[in-house]
Amino acid sequence: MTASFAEIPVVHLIDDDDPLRTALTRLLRAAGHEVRAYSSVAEFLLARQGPLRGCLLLDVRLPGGPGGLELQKSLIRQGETVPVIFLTGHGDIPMSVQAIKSGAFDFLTKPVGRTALLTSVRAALARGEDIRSAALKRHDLGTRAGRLTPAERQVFRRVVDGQPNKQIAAELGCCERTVKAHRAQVMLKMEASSLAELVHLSEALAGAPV
Amino acid sequence: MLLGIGMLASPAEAGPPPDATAGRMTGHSPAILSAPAGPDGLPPGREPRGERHAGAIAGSTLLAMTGLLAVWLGVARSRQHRAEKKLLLSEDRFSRIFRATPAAMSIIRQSDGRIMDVNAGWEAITGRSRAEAIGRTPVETGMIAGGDAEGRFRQFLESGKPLQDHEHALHTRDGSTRWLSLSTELLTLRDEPCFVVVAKDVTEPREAEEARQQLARTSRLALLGEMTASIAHEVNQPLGAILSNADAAEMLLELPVPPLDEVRRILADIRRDDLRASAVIKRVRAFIGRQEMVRVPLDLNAVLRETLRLARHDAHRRGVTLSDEFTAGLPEVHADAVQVEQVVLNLLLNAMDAMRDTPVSTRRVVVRSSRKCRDTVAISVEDRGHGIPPGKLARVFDSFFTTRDDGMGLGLALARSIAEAHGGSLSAENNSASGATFHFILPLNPHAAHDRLLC
Repeated sequence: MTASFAEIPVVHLIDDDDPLRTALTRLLRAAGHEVRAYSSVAEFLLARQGPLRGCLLLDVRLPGGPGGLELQKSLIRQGETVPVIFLTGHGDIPMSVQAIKSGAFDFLTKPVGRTALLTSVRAALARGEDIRSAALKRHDLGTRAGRLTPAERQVFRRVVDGQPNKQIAAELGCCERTVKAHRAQVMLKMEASSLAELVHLSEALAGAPV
Repeated sequence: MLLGIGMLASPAEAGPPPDATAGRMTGHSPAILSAPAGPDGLPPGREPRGERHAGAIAGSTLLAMTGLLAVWLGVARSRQHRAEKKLLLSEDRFSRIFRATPAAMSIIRQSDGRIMDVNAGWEAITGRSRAEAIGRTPVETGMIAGGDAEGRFRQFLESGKPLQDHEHALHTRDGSTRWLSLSTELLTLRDEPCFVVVAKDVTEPREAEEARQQLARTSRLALLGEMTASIAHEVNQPLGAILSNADAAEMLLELPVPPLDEVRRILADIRRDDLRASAVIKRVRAFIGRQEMVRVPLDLNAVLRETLRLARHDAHRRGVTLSDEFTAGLPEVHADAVQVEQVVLNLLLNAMDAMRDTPVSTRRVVVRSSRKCRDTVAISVEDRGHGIPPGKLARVFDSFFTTRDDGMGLGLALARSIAEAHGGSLSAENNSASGATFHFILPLNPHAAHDRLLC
């Protein structure tokens, strides 16, 4: 069970109201989603293993222990990027505003209709997958960049900055031929077929773990 | 001057006295007759409103009077055929008591419902003269009206059942309504069954009680106003479940092979959630709708559980933990559920207000139920708030005393009046550590004397 946390996108539903949780689970499953339901933030945290994949659907108010907003904050602090959809009831406007401000993907007012719910969940899952593939790509680029030698890395930085080979050679105190050789290695190791692509990759790499 | 008695005493001459006498009178009949209207009015066993003393006095007066009457009757009967003189003497004695008592009394013949006699107290209370009353029925005098006054009166006459502290409306000449507490006794006067009716004017205590109930209702509305979010939540949760269940069922039915068992389960859940939502609405309606106090045997813990449920959402919003420590197996109390709920809700909201400056981690309210002693049960509401300044402990129950900027200061005054109307009490004390505890004590038997509550 827990292994599938990261294998396929899952809608993680947290609501303390048993009948409502059951009903939402049924609806999401009928729409073909994989659902895990929890009655509290604590239950969710205990079941959680590894990185999350999918989205979170939770009541903004959860009695006893941490609530939806606290969970959202904690996930952000941990660098968890999974989209969060809040369910809100009557009179929760200030909380909803706070949720949106701190980066909630969406908030839905209870009782929530099928179209609104499923549209939002589908969009959140798609966003989650986008974020995930971008992260994977960054991770992959990081791996590629990790294969560069220190000298190649110096050349890489200057190439994407637009410096001509001659200038790079002058700065690094080597001959132009050596720069050309390093440059060919960079293109090879970074799996780039053109200078434009290399520049693009270097931008994607910014901030990625190297 | 024993007009009524005289008529009974000499049937031969009196002929059909009612009509003959009625000829002279224009009036309406006494309270006696309004009393009978029982069937449509409140059931005879019903609690008298207003002070119990009123009923007690009327009742005891009646007892005394009927006692005297019985003595007189006994004396009269046994001697009647032996000594007319002595009989006249006895009649005179009864007559003097009947006339002299300040209590409003009348005598009504059971066979035709006509008023045989009334006294000065009766004239004062009804605003009608003796002359206009005698020979007429109370319905004919116009004192009882509305609905099927005649039918109800006949039913009372035929049943022959005595009334005890039965409240009934009396229509005065100027069109206003006064409330009488009536007690009757069926006696045989000269071989004719007659009702002796004692009436007590309870208009003022009754109006005071009505004003109190009105105020209680207004305060319940205000309480509900404070809890709109909680109530909306209580209704919205089941509505949300119903909607999602219906959506799910619809999608399942679109499948090539619909899972009918699952759809059946969904339908059952929809029905359950619908009942859950309507139960909340019913409770809200009961809370604001009714004005009269209706005491029934109650499971106190069940009432407390419902009240806590209503307050739970609100408590969560305020970061307050609500907990209960109920004593299981409490005997039933005879009380008005809505009013008990009102008092407890009031105490809960006060407790939560008192903890505005308490750190969230220690904001806690404990509601307890316990058997206080043999005849009482106690509900206590304990908070961890700022407590009550020692000098103000006695004043918190005063009307218009409040520590809140937005408070009217009526909540606790009303809560105490509700407790007292139940024969119970409401008191406050500061906890040794922090905060205050309110004790709401209810007698198991509503008629238990107040001093028994002190145990």
